[in-house]
Amino acid sequence: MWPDTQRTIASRPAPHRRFVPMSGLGAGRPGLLYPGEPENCRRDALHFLLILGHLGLLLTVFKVFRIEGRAFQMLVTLALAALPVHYVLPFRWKKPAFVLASLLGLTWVFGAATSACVTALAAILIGVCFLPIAWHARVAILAALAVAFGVATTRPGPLAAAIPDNVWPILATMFMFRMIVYAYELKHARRPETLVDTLSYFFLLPNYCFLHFPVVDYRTFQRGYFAREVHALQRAGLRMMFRGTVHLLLYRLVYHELLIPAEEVRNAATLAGYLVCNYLLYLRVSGQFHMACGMLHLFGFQLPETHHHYLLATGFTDYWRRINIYWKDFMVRIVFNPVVFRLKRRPQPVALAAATLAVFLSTWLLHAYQSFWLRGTWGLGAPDALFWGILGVLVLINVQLDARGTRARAPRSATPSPRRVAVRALKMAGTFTTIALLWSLWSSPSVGAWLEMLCRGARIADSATDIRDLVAGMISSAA
Amino acid sequence: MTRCEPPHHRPCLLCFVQTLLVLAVGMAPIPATWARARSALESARSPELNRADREATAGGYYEGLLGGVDTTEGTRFELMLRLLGKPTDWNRFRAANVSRHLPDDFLMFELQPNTHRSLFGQPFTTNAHGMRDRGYAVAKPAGTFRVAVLGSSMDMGWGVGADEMYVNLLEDWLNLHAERLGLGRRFEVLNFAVAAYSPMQRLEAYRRKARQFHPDLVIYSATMLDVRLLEIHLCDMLQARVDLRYDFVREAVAAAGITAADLALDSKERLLHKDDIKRKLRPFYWSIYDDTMGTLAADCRAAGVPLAFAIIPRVGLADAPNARANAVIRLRGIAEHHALPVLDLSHIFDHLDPGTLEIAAWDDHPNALGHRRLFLGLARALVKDRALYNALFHVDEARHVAEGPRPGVLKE
Repeated sequence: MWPDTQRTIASRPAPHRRFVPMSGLGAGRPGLLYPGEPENCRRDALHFLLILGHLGLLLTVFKVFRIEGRAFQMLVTLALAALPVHYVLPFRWKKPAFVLASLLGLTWVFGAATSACVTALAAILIGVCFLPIAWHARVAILAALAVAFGVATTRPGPLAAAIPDNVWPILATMFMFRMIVYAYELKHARRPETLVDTLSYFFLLPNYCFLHFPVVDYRTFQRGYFAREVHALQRAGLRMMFRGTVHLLLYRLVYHELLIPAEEVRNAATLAGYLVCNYLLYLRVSGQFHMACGMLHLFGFQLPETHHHYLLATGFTDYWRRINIYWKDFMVRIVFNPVVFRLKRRPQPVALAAATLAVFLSTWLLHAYQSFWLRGTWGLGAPDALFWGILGVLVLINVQLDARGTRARAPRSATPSPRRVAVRALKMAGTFTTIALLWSLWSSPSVGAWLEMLCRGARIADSATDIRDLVAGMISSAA
Repeated sequence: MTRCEPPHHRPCLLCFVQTLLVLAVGMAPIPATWARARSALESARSPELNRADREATAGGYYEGLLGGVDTTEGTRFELMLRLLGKPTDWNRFRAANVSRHLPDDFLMFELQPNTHRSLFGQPFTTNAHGMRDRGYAVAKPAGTFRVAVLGSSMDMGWGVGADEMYVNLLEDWLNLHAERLGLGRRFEVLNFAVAAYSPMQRLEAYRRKARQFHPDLVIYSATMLDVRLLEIHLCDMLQARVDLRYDFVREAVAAAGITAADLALDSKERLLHKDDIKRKLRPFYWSIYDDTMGTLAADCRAAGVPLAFAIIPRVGLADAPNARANAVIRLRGIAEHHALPVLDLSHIFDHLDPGTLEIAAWDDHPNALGHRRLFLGLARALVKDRALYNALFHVDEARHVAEGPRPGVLKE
């Protein structure tokens, strides 16, 4: 009697089923293909040189605009050098070559001592996953190790003294979420994972310049490997990197040119400017995620897009689906689906509500957990709790409305009517405004500071004066 | 299932052309009159923090520079710098072992004498008096004109070799120019600057050190970060229970309403309520600065030594025109309040690529080229200022007006 859950929350196939692994051996087309290699691996010097040239051009852009610091440029340079070798290697050597390039990148960026410590600790964590004991026991050991590492980062002791400080956040960015996904896979996989697959999943080359990294799904990562013709994959990666570049440049313009400090909000006009610009700072995250996934494409890993026009969301569930898609997929797999499955005997609205609330509670706690590893503080505060709580409730309401509306939805015509366009625009504006407002709450040091800023922003009279001055200034400068 | 896709050249070509366009925009020379476009391009090229974030983290940055941060946040900040490209051997000021702590002393720390080290691939040397400078005797040789420079890290030459520092370039030029004018006068520019010295420490350095060398001119170097350095110095003194020494400092602290409870220390002997103390002191920073300069000006006047007030910028957006405007107005106001000639070099790095002028992407101190620009700016400002030029070169007013200054080798 209730609509299907999948249609309201995850309208697309589950991420790990989105790509079809390659099969079939090459035949017919020109180009180098070693015996036994998949057709998608067929090499073509001209196509590859064009791709390499484009990557070189992007690297020049990164250097001219000093994008994301030297570590990023070092890793793109490394990718540029490693890519031809990776390209000509036989298929079975490609993943080990990628892991080697990642290890080289780790060492180049952070130095030999840090790299050695990270690799040794990573070997321990991965080794636990391969222990011939029950899954629950392995997970318990991993959890104990995480606690021990967490204690080591905060309290001086023999372990903390022996390990460079930089090691912990680097290790955390590699394992804090991907280990959860991997452990989930270990539980449900039909056959054991190979060591090289595991290493390639944890040692991701772009991770060493983007510590805040998308939560790549293990199965998606493996199934997407050479799931498409290699040049098409690499070109898609370059387009992703270019999109990331645009996002990062826009971010800088907003950050340096347009954003005002919250303390300088004094009327409705400055409040509106602050809300919009503060929300647009997220462009840095989307830019970095595009860049990271684009770099992975170059080495044959086809991954879904990380963000999809999130500024154009028409509702809160739509927003949740478009922004940080990997996180949404992670939550759906690890939290939402298990909760819905456990409550399958309950009425569907109850199951949906419980699962949605569980997702947002987990998201809140996991963001604090991420903050602990990457920033050294938990960051659990009232603005944080309110942000996730309010967003969770809004998504919950939206999910229920979507669920009810799905049955009655009329088929859409090819050309939308002006009314439909207007309604859509209003929905987008409403969603954008609400999210921008919530985002400012999340960025505030306290709820009191946020309310004070809103009160200052409610001074309409000053705004009118400001707008009048602005218009007068524009007219005089035009004259 | 295998999907052998035909190459779709159009989107790839479009993306390639778009990349080329972005590159062209990044490299295009934009006319000086297009201020808005230039500013936008500089912003797009800048990996720095914006004004608000700089304000929020400046203390952390300088405390990091000094080596005082030992917290997890400090570690993460170091990691962010590493991602920007900071190498492992890029030492902090204290870790470099070039300074020494002065317990219970208003000055808090000073450079060690006779240091010979390599920092960031550049030699870092100090003379027998603990100055980042060439060797000088305390007694002034006959026929020598001495200029004392009071300043902080930029004037100390953080990240550049001794011969590349603007202070030494200025000394070389003054001697060369005097020779061209046929003056039998030697110049010595004595550098009393120490990294992270607040205005009050600069005053103290003048009283305890510079004055012994009998300078004929004092150049006080101000930066847009001085208020933050003043805050760090005050908090450090309150934390270490150091005597505040000057009445105007004691009065400001009292007027701020800082109580004994505010000064409570934690188990590591750090201020428990540092943020509260900063909040209370904040309204008094500029008045403390003003009193500091008043005291220095009075000292110099009593000694018959002219005092000039130079404003030195950092490289990059930190001190871009909009960002520095307010601080420059305040600094100029203080100088004018005490009738000090202002050598305003704050514009010296405007519209230049910060990447070519800073010592590293993670450190906005000027490199050798930046110091050369500072020297050129300072020398030109000295030439323009009739009174200072006259004091330096004994040129009478009438000749200065009639012939105009002869800037000698002041070419880019």
